[in-house]
Amino acid sequence: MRPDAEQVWKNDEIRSRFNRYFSIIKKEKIARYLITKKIPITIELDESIPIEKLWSEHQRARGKFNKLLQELDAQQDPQKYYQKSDTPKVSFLDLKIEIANRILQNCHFCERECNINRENEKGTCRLGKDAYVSSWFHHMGEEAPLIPSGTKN
Amino acid sequence: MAAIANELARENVKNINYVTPLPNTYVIIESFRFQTENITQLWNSNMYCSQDTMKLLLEVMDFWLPDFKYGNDECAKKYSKVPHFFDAVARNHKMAHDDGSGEIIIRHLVMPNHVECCTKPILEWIAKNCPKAVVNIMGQYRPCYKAHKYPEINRRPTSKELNEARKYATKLGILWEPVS
Repeated sequence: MRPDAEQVWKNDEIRSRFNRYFSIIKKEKIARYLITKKIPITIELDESIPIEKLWSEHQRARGKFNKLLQELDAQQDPQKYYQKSDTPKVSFLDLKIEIANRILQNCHFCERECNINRENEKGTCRLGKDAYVSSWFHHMGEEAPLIPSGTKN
Repeated sequence: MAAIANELARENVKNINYVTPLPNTYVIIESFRFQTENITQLWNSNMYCSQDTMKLLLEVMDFWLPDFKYGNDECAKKYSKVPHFFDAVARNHKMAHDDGSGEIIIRHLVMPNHVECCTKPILEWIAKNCPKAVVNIMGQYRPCYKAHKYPEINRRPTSKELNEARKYATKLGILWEPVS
């Protein structure tokens, strides 16, 4: 391990600015994506629902997400609290997945907004629908607080 | 995708680091359905994404590792052929800082002859709009690919240029040393 990867956490300013990240490493806080799995969605997610309606539900779910995140962060044992809380049938994460798949069909992930349906053809980025992970490894050359970083290209 | 993330997490890495993730945003978001480990998710990107993409990412990314490369649209257009770069990239940094986790290391690559037009305006923008961000001022630029077509960037940055960038960041109160 590079010595500065440990040394950097002795810097109070770094610890305070990256407090939540540091706490997740110590398993004292819960990663955000896990929290989205606990937020219930009140609408059905089928193709007939217009995108505007999905976004307004997304906005509502955001409020609930921030509330649960604060609650969890205030717990003595957030892991236990997390495991005990109900897992909804349809979650905020499911809603995000549905919206992401809609965006792909009218692609505007990047600021170029080529609006091509990447289900069938290639966007301005010259990429279609299929994605590949070309490599993954423990990256020891990133910024000190990130090392070792589980990097996927 | 998720299986790799789960495996890396069990090998005790500190984060899952998605490199150049933007066109594959939908795959990464869907992979969360199958990820189970309590580990930081890190977005390592040029930050040239749409506002909709940012909205999807705000509640799933724990850490942001964006590049802020050009300080104005002309330089972005000239070298990277991208339109309205500055407003889009600035907006996304601001969203990650204010509405997301707010835990950010911004990477800025100092380019030769671009300290005045790119480095300084970016550092000023960060000091004003993203005070919690930590900045990596990077000096490893070297001319590659078609850089020889542009004489002004066809060399490495000088130590004078790098010192100028670092001094300016310090003057603005930016935290950069622990990650540069």
